[in-house]
Amino acid sequence: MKCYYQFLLQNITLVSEQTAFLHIFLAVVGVMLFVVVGLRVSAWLRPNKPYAEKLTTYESGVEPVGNAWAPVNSRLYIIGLVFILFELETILLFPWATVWVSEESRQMVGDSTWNLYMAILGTFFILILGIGLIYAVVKGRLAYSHTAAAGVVQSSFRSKVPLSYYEKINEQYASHVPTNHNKLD
Amino acid sequence: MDAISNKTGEGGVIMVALEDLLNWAERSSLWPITFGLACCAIEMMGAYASHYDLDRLGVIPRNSPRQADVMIVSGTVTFKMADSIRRLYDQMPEPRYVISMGSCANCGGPYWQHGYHVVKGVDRIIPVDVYVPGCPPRPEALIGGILKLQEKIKAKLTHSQLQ
Repeated sequence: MKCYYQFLLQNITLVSEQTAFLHIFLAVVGVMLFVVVGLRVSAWLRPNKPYAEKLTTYESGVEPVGNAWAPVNSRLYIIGLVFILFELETILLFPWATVWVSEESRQMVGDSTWNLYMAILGTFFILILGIGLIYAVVKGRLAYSHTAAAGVVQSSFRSKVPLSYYEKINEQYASHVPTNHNKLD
Repeated sequence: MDAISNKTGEGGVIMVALEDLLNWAERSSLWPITFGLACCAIEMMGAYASHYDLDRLGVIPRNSPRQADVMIVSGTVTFKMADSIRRLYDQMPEPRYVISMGSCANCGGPYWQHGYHVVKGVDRIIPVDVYVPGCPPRPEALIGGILKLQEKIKAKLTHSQLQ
């Protein structure tokens, strides 16, 4: 392998950039081969005995119920949008601060002009997003728990478990209890 | 290389059948599915942690039955839990093993007589390979059980021996 690299370096020095890409290409091909060969060999060696119970969705041992494609409340979408907006604001303020302190433009337009320009620029940017935030708050977009605002009626959660449920469970497991056990009641 | 050649006297080359190699790999990396049911699980966690360090035996707990080789049933198996145990065992890929840890999992333990809610031994639900006695067993006992399972896998008949 070392000889091969020396050969490459001696003969293709003129196109060193292409050589670098050749190395990357070799690495990509090597990774692909490693993955494919590894997966195929292990698939060939391991026993494969699929059946319905084994192939069910893993839900920590609980029987999977319903569809994973459940509807998500659309209010979550609006909060997600607002979140992304302010995340982008944070990200965009970093280059703004870096450009402000850079010497290049400062020397071109003069110190005081540059400072004023950058301060106005940043304030304008934050102001627009600030107005947006106030708009979202006033419109009640961030009030996630205000279900009444969205016209959703909340049901009472203080309901008892019906006694028939216990009877059902006792019936189901009545056959599991060993016959020679001492009765407690 | 020197240590190997000194050990076998064969210059660092060991000739084995593929099945023996697979068997060696199988027993050297027994990955258990994390399955703590009762106080035995505390001892099991102790065995995983640095004091007893089950990693040195290749025992690394996994969070999914798809990646697990062995299920350590550590604790009281209630009827409510029985369905889950059965399903998780079914979801493990072959070859799969079960270590029953502690008296409750072995036979119902202290709930043998009056425990209306306890399965009288996990072997009534899934096939058990190794029983670890104790209430709860110390980490040393669990390590002993894992070594016993390794012995059992080592003594497993190969495909050609079965025919």
